[in-house]
Amino acid sequence: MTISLKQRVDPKQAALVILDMQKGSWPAKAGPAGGEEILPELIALIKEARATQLPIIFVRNTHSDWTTTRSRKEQTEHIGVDYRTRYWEGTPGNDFLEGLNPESQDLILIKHSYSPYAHGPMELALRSRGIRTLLLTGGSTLGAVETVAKDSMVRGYNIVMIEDCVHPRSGPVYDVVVDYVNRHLGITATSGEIIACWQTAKR
Amino acid sequence: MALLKTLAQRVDPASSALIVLDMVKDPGAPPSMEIPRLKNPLNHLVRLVQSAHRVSFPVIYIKNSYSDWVRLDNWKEAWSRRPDYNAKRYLEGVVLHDGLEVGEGDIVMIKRYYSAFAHGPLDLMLRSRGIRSVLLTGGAVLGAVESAAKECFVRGYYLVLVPDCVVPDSGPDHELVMRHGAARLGAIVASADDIIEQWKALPQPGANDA
Repeated sequence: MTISLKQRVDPKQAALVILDMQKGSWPAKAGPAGGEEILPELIALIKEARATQLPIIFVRNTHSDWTTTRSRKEQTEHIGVDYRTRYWEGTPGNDFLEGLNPESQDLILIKHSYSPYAHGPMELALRSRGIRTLLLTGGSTLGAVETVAKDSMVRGYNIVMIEDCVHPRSGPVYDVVVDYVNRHLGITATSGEIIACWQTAKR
Repeated sequence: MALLKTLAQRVDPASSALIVLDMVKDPGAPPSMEIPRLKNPLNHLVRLVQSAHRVSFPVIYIKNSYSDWVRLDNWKEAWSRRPDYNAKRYLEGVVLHDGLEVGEGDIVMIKRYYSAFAHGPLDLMLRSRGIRSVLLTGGAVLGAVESAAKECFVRGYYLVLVPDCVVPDSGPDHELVMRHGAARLGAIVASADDIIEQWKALPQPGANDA
């Protein structure tokens, strides 16, 4: 049974998920925040999603001493990064990137590791709202996005990864993930294709 | 790793935490201390929290909180049949009862159902802080407290139930939970005074903050 893109993005049963678009994104040290290159397309997509009354979930990666396991400390030490550097609660790195402004009807969901299903009410929220398809955006492509695609698929949700609204959105890692999603987890599509579906449905 | 058999071991600030369950105000409610069923347990709990802060004992406040994002149909159906149903109870942004202060180093987390572990990071938080023993307080004693006791036990945490810091603090529900907790879940049942007495021997780094 093939599910068309138009069916998958139907606002009655889909939600837009925006993963970890925060000022503390890669690179961890000095330099510009990761993900800014996708903001124009992502912001346009959010605007259209609001116009179709699509539920929107902003996922915020947040760490504190209360949620940092010894294994995470050891891993960040292993790559030469202070475990309090990125996404640390109460620091500017935890804030959403400029231009991403959740509204009262949106859900802001806190996560503490790659997966928003771990340690949080992600699945409860999806079931409460009758959501069956997730439109995945944000980053990183091989971190949160691929993780959510996999964790969602095994829980029975349909996946659309939005090609131009994930970061990085080019290069070998991106190519591998797009191929993997299309072969095993769901489908990928551009933001323009999705917006076209919504606009067609309105007519 | 040593078994935690004594109260002193289970209230050690290095490996224990005080959990305060669902001690939140209903919209429009009178001052918390003027509510008869709350007055005594809240009074004891406030003293316990203040003593915890004096010895830098971690406190985890857990607030029941709902929105349309986190209400399943079975919840809506079940609650609609309750005679005490209050649609505004536990709405997002709900605040703690008067007198319960969030100290530096404490954490406030949200839960959505009876269980403090479901849909939230409680297990992650306890493990991240190396916590092996939890002191359970708050209410309702046969709702959130009993649920947390059972779920803590099956996840490997040691329990201390604080009978004068739960709501209600007497009656059949209270007796059942204390008796079952001690008999089946290995809980030590200890009053706020018993616990505070254990902490008196410790350094009091937070005494000036109280």
